[in-house]
Amino acid sequence: MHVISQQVVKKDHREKMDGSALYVGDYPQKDMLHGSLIRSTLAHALVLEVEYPPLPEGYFWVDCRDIPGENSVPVVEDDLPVFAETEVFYRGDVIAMLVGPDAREVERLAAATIVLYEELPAVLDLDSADTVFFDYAYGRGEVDAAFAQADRVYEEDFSTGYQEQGYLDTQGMIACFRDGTLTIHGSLQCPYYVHGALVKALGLAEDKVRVIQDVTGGGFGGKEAFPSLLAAQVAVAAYKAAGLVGGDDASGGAVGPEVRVVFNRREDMEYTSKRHPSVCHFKAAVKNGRVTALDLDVRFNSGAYTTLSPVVLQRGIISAPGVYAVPHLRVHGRALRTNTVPCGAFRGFGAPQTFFAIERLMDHIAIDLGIEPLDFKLAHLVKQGDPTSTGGLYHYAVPLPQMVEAVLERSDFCAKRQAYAALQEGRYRRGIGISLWFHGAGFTGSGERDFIKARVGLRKDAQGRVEILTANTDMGQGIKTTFAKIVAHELGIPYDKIVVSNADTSFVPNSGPTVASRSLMTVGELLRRAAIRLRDEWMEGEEQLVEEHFSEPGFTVPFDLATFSGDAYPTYSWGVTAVELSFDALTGSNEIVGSWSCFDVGTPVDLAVVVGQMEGGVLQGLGYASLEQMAVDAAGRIRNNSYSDYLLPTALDAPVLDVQLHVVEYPFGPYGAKGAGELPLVGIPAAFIAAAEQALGTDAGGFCHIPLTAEEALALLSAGGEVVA
Amino acid sequence: MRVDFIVNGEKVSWEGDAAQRLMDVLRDDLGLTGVKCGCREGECGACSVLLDGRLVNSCLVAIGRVQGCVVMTIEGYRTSARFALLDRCFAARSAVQCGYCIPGMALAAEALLAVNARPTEAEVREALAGNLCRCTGYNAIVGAVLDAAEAGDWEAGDVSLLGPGSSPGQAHRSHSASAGVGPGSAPEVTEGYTPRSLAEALEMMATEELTPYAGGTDLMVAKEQGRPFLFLHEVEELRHVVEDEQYLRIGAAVTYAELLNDALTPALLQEAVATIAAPGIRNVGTLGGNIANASPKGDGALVCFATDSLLRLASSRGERIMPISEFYRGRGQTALEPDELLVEVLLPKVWLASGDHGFCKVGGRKALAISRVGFAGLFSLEDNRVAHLALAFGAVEDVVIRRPELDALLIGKTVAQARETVAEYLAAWDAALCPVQGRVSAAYRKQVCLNLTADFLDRHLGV
Ligand SMILES: Cc1cc2nc3c(=O)[nH]c(=O)nc-3n(C[C@H](O)[C@H](O)[C@H](O)COP(=O)(O)OP(=O)(O)OC[C@H]3O[C@@H](n4cnc5c(N)ncnc54)[C@H](O)[C@@H]3O)c2cc1C
Ligand code: FES
Ligand code: FES
Repeated sequence: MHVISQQVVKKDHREKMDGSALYVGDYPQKDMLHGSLIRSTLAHALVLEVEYPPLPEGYFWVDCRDIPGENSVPVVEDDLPVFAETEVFYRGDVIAMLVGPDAREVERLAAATIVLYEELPAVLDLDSADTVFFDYAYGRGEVDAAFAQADRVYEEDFSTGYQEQGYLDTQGMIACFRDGTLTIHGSLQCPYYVHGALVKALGLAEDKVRVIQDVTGGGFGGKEAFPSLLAAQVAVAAYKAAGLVGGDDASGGAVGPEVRVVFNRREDMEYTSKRHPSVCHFKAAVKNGRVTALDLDVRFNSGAYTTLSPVVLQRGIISAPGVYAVPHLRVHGRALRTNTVPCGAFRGFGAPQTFFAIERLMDHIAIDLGIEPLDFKLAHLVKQGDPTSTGGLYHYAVPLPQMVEAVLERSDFCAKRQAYAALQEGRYRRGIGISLWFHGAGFTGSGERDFIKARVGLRKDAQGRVEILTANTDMGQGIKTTFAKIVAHELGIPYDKIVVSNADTSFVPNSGPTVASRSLMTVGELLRRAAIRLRDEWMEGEEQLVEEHFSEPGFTVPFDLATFSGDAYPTYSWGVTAVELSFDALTGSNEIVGSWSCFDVGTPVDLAVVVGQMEGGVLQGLGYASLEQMAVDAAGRIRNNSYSDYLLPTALDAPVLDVQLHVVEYPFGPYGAKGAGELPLVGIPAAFIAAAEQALGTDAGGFCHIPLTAEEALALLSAGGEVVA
Repeated sequence: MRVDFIVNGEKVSWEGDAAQRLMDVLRDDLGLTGVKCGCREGECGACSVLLDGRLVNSCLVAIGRVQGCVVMTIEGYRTSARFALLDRCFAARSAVQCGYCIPGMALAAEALLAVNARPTEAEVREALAGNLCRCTGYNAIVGAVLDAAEAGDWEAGDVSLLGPGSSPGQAHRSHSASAGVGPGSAPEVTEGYTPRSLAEALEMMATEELTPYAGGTDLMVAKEQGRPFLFLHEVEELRHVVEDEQYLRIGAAVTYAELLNDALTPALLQEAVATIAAPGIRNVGTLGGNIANASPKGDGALVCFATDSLLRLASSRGERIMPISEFYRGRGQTALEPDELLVEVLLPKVWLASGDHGFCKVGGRKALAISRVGFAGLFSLEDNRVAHLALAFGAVEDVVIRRPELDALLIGKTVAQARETVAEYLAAWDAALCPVQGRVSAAYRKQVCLNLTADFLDRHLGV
């Protein structure tokens, strides 16, 4: 084990353990104004008029006319408005905000506000969607010829549902406008995304907007883009409040009150971004027992605005052929508009959907051919030097065979798989399944080089304490700890001499967003280099500042988005998981008997941090496949908007999550580290459903969707004949 | 209402609406923001505190209920040696990720270790089942609690912290509700009453329209009802579990946790109660509340149906006893008069003692799960004849289902005769059940009921 992997006490351990950490909802509210959002109650409509009740003194409303800058939140495109203008596109679209000093009164007034609409036709599901937001295609080889020459052609539709991030700390922002500067703090992943959004919405200079990350209780992608929207709304309210009810300070500068919006659970669950539901129509040509061609069609439900859909879709379709070497390939992906809540980032970012599809397709082909699925998959694995789906290269070793071995051994997979294949009778039916996957490390394509251009800094004070300056945020994933370890290690000074504060755009450079499992690999490496420079230039007793900039590792085949060609990722993290289930034939309910995983995320820059990420990700994947059900009803409304209706696994539902690590070092990540955070979730649903299929005896032509309900399981068990013991 | 209580060793006088959530008072008025808010409906455990040493969800506790009580939050607990040990063990496993669940987890761990210094892994998971964590997958947290149990002497409890008088300065703070007064609207302060005897309680019920408050775990989720609360936890007559010749008598305000710990509680009821919610809710939730709440999904009420329990109701005008099957007037409707209290549940002992039982709850998950189908059954054989059979189904129709006339098809028959009648019996249930459509379909509900019934008979008749 690399010395850097040795576990330390996390930087943020103590304040979180003893309850002293302040999350956005914890700030004293005494002198704050409260905001309540007025949302569309229709999925698609023209807003004719908003009738406010008489407002007491000190209360006011904010809408699109109050926006001093542009009414647009920059994500990838700019179609998302801060406040809707004339048309609302989903049930929840924000029309206005009511603001005032008493939270309950604000709620009352917001509820008494009447919006008059002209209802328009709404599109609520993928199959009726006709507006294509994004459409990409790529491929190689002679796909049609391969299908024409195939012995067999397999064709299936796979679908996945919503997944809600479910972080315990709901979204929230607190803003105030004073002396020409807008300061905002809240629960967020990407301070500079929020910063950019506020500069645009308020029309302020960059140095007149300050964004500070509060202690953030989980993000999982849900606080990547959405906080820009909420922040813009709250900032506009703070801006207006300063003019309406603000005072002057001693020197005559304007002092606006703080405006606060912190969502309750229902608002957060119903109206913030989630994982894209998907439908994958996958076709495979098989000749002489091998898959010769794949023709893959991917559709993601974007919801009402584009938000992060293009990049989510890109990762989804790049991952679509899975970990398999297939000579002829055609991939087509679309993100379509519906009048539903805009989807966004969630751990895995498009890859869980397509990995589910390809893993299940491979399972089904193998079963049909009478081959054990794992053997079939191993026979098709990519290896080092092979081209990637987009014609880049797997530059580094592909450790899947060794990882599979490790999982087989720990789980006793082969014996169980064989035993459960026999006809099962009695009340409980078992099954075990396995899936294999990768996660491309870092941003897709050339984002780091072309857009992010990350910068980091290290500031040393006279006492020899070193502060890390990055915009990367710790939401629990441990980046403060791992960054501090890297810097301490290179400087040869104690870990507790390293200071890492929450990101504050007034003094940290833009090291890019905390997304795409990039922070440790990319920003951590910049910090390592910065630390080496500081060590070389170290002057005892002096204050010093060093900076470091991103430079592209030279070995990659540059990625071209127009043609989807080149190295979409410099390297890959790898995952293998086996899941064992037991179904109750009387009720269809299941119990997760065990899960055994092996992950390669390169060198763990802290063993416990990495293992914690892996365990947490696995359980989210298990939830995604089963308990976590969320649907839109005929009125475009999400009813599973509480923890009692959207079920997260409890400590009793979770099995002991067995995790092993395998290390293939990445020379351009710090000490060989690669991306870690997203990987563990990605392939779990496929393993879960493979296990379900075996247990339920529906191997041929089995399950093609998640989440799996007890109801469906029972229907299959009942159809399968003798149920009762 | 004025509420005097002790928080983290400090006396607090609080004045305001008795129905306010303890969580809000702790966070907003006392600044104890280590108490986290994740849902406000008992579903996440982030707001966990210790109330008189027991774990509770502070979002489900009305402030009036804590009159005279001792509350400990993470802010108090963190000054103890016991916390220091947990802290070390959590740190050593890097069990803290985003941290939002952690203060609640720490208090849930304390609540466990205080009564079980050497828990098994399964017991730790059970104890933490009401505390959601979205980050860790629980491995590290469960491991840390086990490590702490291993490393420390938890029996020698640091309980001084729980009581009054431990705080060095004996500070006394006065507070009034800050969330307050909307412009124009008069402050609406709901009162609350804490009677000490049944007579006193009934007297209060007779003079004013009150909402009886047992554990509050149904009431506080619904909240938004203007009547003052009548807190029942100090009414001795509602808090006993005793038996006489015929009946096991359970006071309406006996909590689930008390039932689980009571040797008199029959196995069927133990099994059912163990599936209810999670420890924090079982520490305050009551069988009486479950029955009076009149939800067909109540797991406790289901057992009362299967056992043909009687309910004793009382008012200042007198009392009456009625079978539970006559108590309901439809979903959410009971026979209770506005001035009446449910006093006692009488479980007939005869079939519980002589026979066998079955229980199965189908929920969405293993804890914090509201029943989607509930099954409870009693079966007794005497001289190779079916002496007793009683099935009840919960969460299927608007009221728990109990149909003695169907069970009569098998009662009195020899095992061999009964076996031959099983098909007819199942068909009768098939015809009788009219499940409602909800989170699961009507067809699923019916299928599960029939499967569980067939399985139950199979076990006892060996079809
Ligand atoms: C997260 C969560 C999970 C839950 N899980 C379950 C579960 O798994 N199974 C289950 O069955 N329930 C569950 N519940 C519901 C609830 O916990 C139970 O119904 C509990 O038994 C209610 O008891 P209580 O003492 O808290 O009732 P309270 O809320 O105090 O009262 C409930 C109702 O009964 C009335 N009442 C109470 N006592 C009397 C009396 N003596 N006389 C007259 N009226 C009275 C009250 O006025 C009120 O209308 C859950 C609740 C929550 C919040
Ligand atoms: S806030 Fe979630 S249980 Fe109380
Ligand atoms: S550590 Fe984040 S919810 Fe538990």
